[in-house]
Amino acid sequence: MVEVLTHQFQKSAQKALRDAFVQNSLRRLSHFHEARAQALAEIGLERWEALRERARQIKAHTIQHLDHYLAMLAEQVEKWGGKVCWARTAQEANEYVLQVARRHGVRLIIKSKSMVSEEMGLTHVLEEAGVEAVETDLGEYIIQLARERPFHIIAPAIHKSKEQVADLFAQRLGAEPVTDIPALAGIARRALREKFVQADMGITGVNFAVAETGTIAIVTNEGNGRMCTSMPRVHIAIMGMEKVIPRWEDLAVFLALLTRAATGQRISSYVTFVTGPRRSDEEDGPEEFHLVILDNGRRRLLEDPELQEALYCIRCGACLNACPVYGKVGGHAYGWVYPGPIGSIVTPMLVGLPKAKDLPYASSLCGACREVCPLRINIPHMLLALRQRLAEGAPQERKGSLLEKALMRGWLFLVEHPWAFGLAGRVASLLQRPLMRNGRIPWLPPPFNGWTRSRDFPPVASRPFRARWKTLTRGGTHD
Amino acid sequence: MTSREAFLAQVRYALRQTRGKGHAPAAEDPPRIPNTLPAWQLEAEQVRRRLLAQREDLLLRLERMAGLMNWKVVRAGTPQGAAEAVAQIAQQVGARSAVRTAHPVFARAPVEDALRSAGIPCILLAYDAHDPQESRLRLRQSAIQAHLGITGVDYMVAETATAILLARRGVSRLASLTPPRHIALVEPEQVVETLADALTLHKAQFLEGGDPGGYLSLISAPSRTGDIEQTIVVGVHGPQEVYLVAVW
Repeated sequence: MVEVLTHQFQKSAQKALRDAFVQNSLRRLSHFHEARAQALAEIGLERWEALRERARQIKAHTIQHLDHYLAMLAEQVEKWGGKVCWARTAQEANEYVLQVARRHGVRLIIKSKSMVSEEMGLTHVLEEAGVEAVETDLGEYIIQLARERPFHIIAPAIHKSKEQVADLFAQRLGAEPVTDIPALAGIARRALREKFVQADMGITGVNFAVAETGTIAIVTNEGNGRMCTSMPRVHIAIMGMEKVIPRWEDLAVFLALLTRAATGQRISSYVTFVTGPRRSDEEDGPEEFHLVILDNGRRRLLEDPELQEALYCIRCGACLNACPVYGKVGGHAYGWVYPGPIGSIVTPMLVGLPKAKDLPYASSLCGACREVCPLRINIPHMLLALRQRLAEGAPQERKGSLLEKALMRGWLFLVEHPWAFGLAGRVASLLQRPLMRNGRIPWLPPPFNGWTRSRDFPPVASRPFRARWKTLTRGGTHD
Repeated sequence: MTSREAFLAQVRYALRQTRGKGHAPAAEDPPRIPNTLPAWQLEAEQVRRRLLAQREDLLLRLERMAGLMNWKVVRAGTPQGAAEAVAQIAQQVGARSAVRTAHPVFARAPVEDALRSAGIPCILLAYDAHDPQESRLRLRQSAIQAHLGITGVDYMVAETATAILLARRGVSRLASLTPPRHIALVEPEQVVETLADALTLHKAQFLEGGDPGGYLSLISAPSRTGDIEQTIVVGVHGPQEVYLVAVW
C-alpha cells in the first residue's frame, strides 16, 4: 500500500498555506464550483434533485445487498469471457496483477487514472518487479514523473505550475523547455503515443460496474482510457467493491450526476462501456479481460451503521471543491490517497483511525460538502461520529489533552446550572478586562494562546444576553 | 487470492453487523421496470414513438448542443451530400489518408468515392477472414497513421451531443480514436433525446441472454484536458477535432 502520512496533517497543511502558487491554484478551483452551478441550472434543479434521490436509493439498496450484486457482477463478467479476482487486501490485488503480467511476459503497461490503484501503490509494486507502468492521464503522468501523489481526486496535478511541468519534461523526457501549455500537452501526447502503441497490457479503474450485464464504465476526457482498453493485448480493470450498481439503466442516472458534480461538464468527452474481452470477430481490442474487485478495508465501512454511507461515494470531488478547509490546505495535507471531506472519513477507516486522528477535525462542519454531494452523503454527521470515537473511544484512538477534557467537563457543569453560568459570565467579564484591546482579545496566556496565534478571541459581552432578554420581554427597548 | 466464497462471506458478515441498527438507511428496491423482455420492448416502443413525434425539434436541439460541445456541425442534406462534405473537410484540413468503419451508412453515402476524387485514399478497417492476424496488425497500423477517421454512429444523444458507437465486426475501436480528426455521419433515425433513451433501446435488444456488446464508446467532444494550470487543451490522446455530418 501507498505510504501513509496522515499523522503529518498539521505540518503539511502549514506548508501548503505558505506556498503562494498552491494557494493560487486552490483559489482557481472555484471555477469547478461555478461550472457545477451552471450545469445544474441547465438541467434544472428539479430534475437534479430527482436524480440525486434516485441515485441514493439505488446505492442504499445495492450496498445493503452487496454480496448479491457482486456475485451477479462476477457471474456476468465470466459469462462474457472475463476473469474475476477477489482481493481482500491491496497486496492480494497487486500480486494478481503481477501474476497476469508475468504470464503474458509483459514489459510495458499503460495505465489510465484509478484512485484504487493509487491506494494499492500499484505502479510502485510493478516497477519494483521490473515492469514499466506508465500513467497516461496527463495529470497523473506529471505526478508520476515528479514522484508525488495526486493533489485532487480529478485534477491530480493542479498544484504544479507550467514552469514546473516544463522543467520536469525537460529533465525526465529530454524535451525542449517550453512553457506554452498546449505545447506541453503536445510533448506528453507524443511521449505517451509511443507507449500506447508498444504496451502489452492496459490497466484502468472503474467508475461504475453493472451487475446485470458485467459491464464496467470508464469516464475520461483525454481518451487515454479508450487507448488502454483498445490497444494492448490484456486489459485489467480494478474496482473498489462499492462501485457495483444493479442495472444497465442505472448508468444513465450516475453518469448524469458524476461529471456535472465534478467539473460542471454535461458529460465527459468519453465514456466507455466494456463487457468482457473483445468478441472473436471484432476488429481490435484486448484478448483477455480481468476484473479485480478490491475490499482493502471497505468492509470496515460496510459493517459500521454510522459510516456505511461513505460507500455511496462516486469520487466526483465536488466536496473537495466546496470545502473551505481543502480550499486552503490542499490535497497533500490529508496524507493519503483520498483527500478532502470524504477522504477524512474514508482514510481513517482504511488506514486506521489512530493513524489519522487529525482528519475528522479538518472541517468546520459547515455542511457545504453534504450540500454539493450528488449522493447527499451526510459527511458532517460522520465526521462528528468519528470525533466522538476519538474523544471517547479506545485509548489508542483517543485524541485531545486532559486539559481539554477538564474544560469540556467544566462547560457541561456550567450549561447545566444557570446560577453557575451567570456567575462565570460575570467572572469572565472581570478577568478579560486587562486583555481587551479595542473590544477584542488579541492575546491569551498559555495554555490558551493556541487560539489567539492566528485570530482574536471574542470577549464576553459586557451585558449578558439573559439580562437583555429580561428587558426585551418586558417590552422595553434595549440599550 | 481470496476465493469468491470467502470474499462474499466476509461481505455478508459485515452486512449482518448493521442489520437492525437504527442508523443504517432503509434500502427498499427502487421502483423499476420489470426486467423482462416484453416489458423492455414495450418501453423501447414508447421511446421510439416519443422520439418520432419530436424528431424535427430533436434534430435542432442536437445541432445546437453539438456546437456547444465543440463538435463542428455540417448539415449535409442527403447521403450524397454527406460524402461530399467529408471530402471537403478532408481537403480543408489537408488530410492525406483516411480510415473508415463498415457502418451501413456508408452504403448510402459513398464516402470512399468522394475521397478518391479528391485524391485521398480511404481504408476500410475490416480484417481479412483468410488471414485475420496479419491483416489485423496491418489495419491497426493504418488506423494509427491515418489523418482522418470516419465512422457512423449507433445512437446519437441530443441532450449531450453524445455519439454512441458499438465496436463489432467492421467497426474498429480505433477509427474514432487514433486519427487526429474524427468525422461521424449521423442519420435522423439514430438521434435520441437522452442517454437513458439510448440505454433503453439497447437493453430491449440484449435482455434475456443477448450480448450487450463488448465495447461501447460514448463520444461527446474532442479529447481534452485541464490538467496543467486548469487550462483546457484539446487533442491530448484522442482527436483534436470532431465533425458531426448531419445527414438531413
